Amino acid sequence: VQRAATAVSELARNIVSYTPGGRLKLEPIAGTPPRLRIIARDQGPGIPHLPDVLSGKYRSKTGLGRGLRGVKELTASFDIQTGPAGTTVTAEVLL
Amino acid sequence: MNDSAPGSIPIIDLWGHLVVPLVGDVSDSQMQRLVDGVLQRVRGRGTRGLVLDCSGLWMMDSHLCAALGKLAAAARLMGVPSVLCGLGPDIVMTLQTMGFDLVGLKAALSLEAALEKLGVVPERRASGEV
Repeated sequence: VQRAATAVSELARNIVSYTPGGRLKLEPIAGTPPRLRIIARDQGPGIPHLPDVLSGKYRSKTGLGRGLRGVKELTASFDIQTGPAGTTVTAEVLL
Repeated sequence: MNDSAPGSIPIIDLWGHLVVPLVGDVSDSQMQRLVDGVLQRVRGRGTRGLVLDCSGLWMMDSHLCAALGKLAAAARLMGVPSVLCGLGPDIVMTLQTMGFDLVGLKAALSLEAALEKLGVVPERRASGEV
């Protein structure tokens, strides 16, 4: 639960801090163990140097890189699509 | 001193040290007010040490983690050492997984251990004396 809460907080913060707006969708998935799917979609400018951000080479002054990379480490599955029209992160955390 | 304003985090004076209990979910604005409040108190009262008690915290994300690190670093620049205490297993594991180790920040298991690290010596009186 701690992992899920932290991942949601990181993704929400990225949307609030770096984009004009977006949506966060949470979908509980039954199973053993149960999972929580988090979909964070924004209409921001996209993330430049995404591979560097995810590999830990790039770090913003405010810690954006660390947050996103942290979410990748916290989650069981992590997918990110980013471009000039916005970014969508789909991640699943085991509960 | 606005540390009694609604929603603000208390800053407790204890034997020349400041103790800050972080509880529940700490917002960015609460944290900002806390940093301002602590640094003002440090300057005004000659504090010997700062204890950041996280035992009531239920979530720490990268921002809060960075903010605590900055508060400790700022206090250190004013000559005041900080000790973090009371981090629970869930929070510690999450921080580890995310790659935040908070190296450079002293840590203790409990509030008592943190105060002892800062040089507070508990005096145990002989029985019969009060």
